[in-house]
Amino acid sequence: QINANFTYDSWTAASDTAIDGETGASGGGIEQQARVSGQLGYQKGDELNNWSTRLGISQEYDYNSLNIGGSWVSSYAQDNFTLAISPQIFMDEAKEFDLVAGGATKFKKRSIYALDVSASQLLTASDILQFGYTFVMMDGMLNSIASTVQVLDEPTDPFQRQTEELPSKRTRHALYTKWVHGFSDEVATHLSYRFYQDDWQIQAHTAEAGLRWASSESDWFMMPTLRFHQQSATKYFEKEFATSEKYMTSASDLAQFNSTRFGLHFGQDAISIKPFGHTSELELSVGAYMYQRTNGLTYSIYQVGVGVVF
Amino acid sequence: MRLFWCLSLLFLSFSCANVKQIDRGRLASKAMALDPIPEESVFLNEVNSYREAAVGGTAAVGGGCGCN
Repeated sequence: QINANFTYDSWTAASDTAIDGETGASGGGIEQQARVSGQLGYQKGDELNNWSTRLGISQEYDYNSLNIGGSWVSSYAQDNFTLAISPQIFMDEAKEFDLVAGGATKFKKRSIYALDVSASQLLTASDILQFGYTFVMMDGMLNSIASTVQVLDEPTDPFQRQTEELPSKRTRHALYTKWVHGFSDEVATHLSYRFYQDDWQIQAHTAEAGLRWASSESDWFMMPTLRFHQQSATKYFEKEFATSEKYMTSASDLAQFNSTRFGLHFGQDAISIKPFGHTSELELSVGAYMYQRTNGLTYSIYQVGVGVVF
Repeated sequence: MRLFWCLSLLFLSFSCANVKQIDRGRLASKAMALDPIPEESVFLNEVNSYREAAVGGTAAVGGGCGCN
């Protein structure tokens, strides 16, 4: 089985790269950006084992990615127990923002190596349990693309800004579990939890709960979800620095915060259509997600999907 | 290492559970899937991996974010 996908996304923001008066809408910086990405995959398997491989690319004005990944899935005990191993390698490069140069500099390498091992077990006729572990090793230019820090004794910049500096290596670990319980053939609930830790001294806990309704007669599916995330700040984080240090960041994504996300997804399958006299099936899905963080960020995601089965 | 052996023992004990093929009708429904919306989840997990400091449990660990 061969699969391929292509993505084009574009966005615009008033001040998406606003740093002091030199960038963003006020400074006449980049106001609209686009990203192009594609992926080609191949999958093969038999009754007990499935393996797949994929090749992906992604390009935007300050970030390029060439990535490969694979997956091996094996079943045991008459498919009661399933083991999956998935390695990935990202050969990325990113432009670092340079205050002195007044803009993004040339591309610098960022390599990411990831391995995920997971297992799922059928506990009863109504329960599925999954456990997994993810290991990620990062190497290269790991600074945020366009972040600066405020250094109070900065002698040259009138806004007291210096470029963010982060270590060139990062090792990350995550343990996760998910439990799905079916109350009936059409109603189920899912609970998931993830513990995360890395060598930048960030620890995080993420929990998600969801209720699922799937009508087999009418082929619709609905799923409200509630996700909670809590993380500590990296040891390199400060809102402002009294003096310049070797590693400094004020990126809000690396700060201490809690976040909540409420989502609702609805899907309808098996909508018969007859384009040009041929009977096909249409699949529609819509979703809305509201996210809020305690350190000020809020955003909404709206998704619409259309699929056609020939 | 201790955590690894504990998890291994846990998996071994679970593998003793045996749900027969004839009893798996409910498990095959969309509501029971570990990820019932895989295409939509890809984007949601990418956003989480870049707007939060944690990753894991998904394929979203690299490849840019389109968020600058």
